[in-house]
Amino acid sequence: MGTRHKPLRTLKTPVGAPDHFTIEQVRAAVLAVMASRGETPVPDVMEPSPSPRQSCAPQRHAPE
Amino acid sequence: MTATESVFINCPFDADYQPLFRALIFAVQDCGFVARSALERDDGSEVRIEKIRRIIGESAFGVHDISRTEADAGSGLPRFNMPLELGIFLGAKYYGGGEQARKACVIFDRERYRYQAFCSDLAGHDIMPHAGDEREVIRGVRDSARSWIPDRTLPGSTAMFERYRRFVESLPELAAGLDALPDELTFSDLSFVTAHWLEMNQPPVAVPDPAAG
Repeated sequence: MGTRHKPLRTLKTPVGAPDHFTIEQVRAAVLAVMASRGETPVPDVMEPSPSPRQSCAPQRHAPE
Repeated sequence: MTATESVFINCPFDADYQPLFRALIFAVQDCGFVARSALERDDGSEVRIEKIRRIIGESAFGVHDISRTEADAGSGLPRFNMPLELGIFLGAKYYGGGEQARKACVIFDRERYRYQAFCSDLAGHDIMPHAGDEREVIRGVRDSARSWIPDRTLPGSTAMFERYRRFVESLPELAAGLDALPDELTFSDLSFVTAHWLEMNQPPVAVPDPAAG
């Protein structure tokens, strides 16, 4: 009998945009700093943020 | 995706609170939510309390820190913005009807029972003490999020704090790479820097939860 696991949470992009930079500049800065510190990027999944004016009800996902 | 992913962060914004604010944003985002704040950018035409009311209405969850409800040295009176915003959130939950009734939140203070001296009607809510410790706010957000969205696996709070510590160590260099100082990053700036750092730093182990089996 196999064991079912709950899915890992998925990152969400923040609402709007940075005030002083572009998203590309932020991504480049993150990668540059990690490289300078000898860290290897381990990419995660990030989804677009929701439209904030939609429903605020907590979502109930069906079990897998 | 819907605004079910939004978490309204109600906390002080002064310089002394910045480490805890960063920890709150990090934990909310690392739990897979969108951090929302009265500091997020708008078109400048919205009255502050209306903006707060709107964001609360759009957020299924809330993180409230009432630890700064204390007498001001100058006036002798406490600042009451955080309890007021907590009250709006609870009012939306109790009187908003429909989906608003399913709102959930975590309430932080410095000590667990301190609220009894200034807002005893909060009795019955579970107040999480953080003692000004970033590790405790991360643990509080993470453990609350686990009950809000029980069908997700979240990074463990110890692992989350360790990754947060690495993020904070990197923050001066990250800001410098953007020609800024860490304290110059606005809420929106910091949210995006945090999100993209997390995007490149997946938790090392997605811990299976036996309860999900």
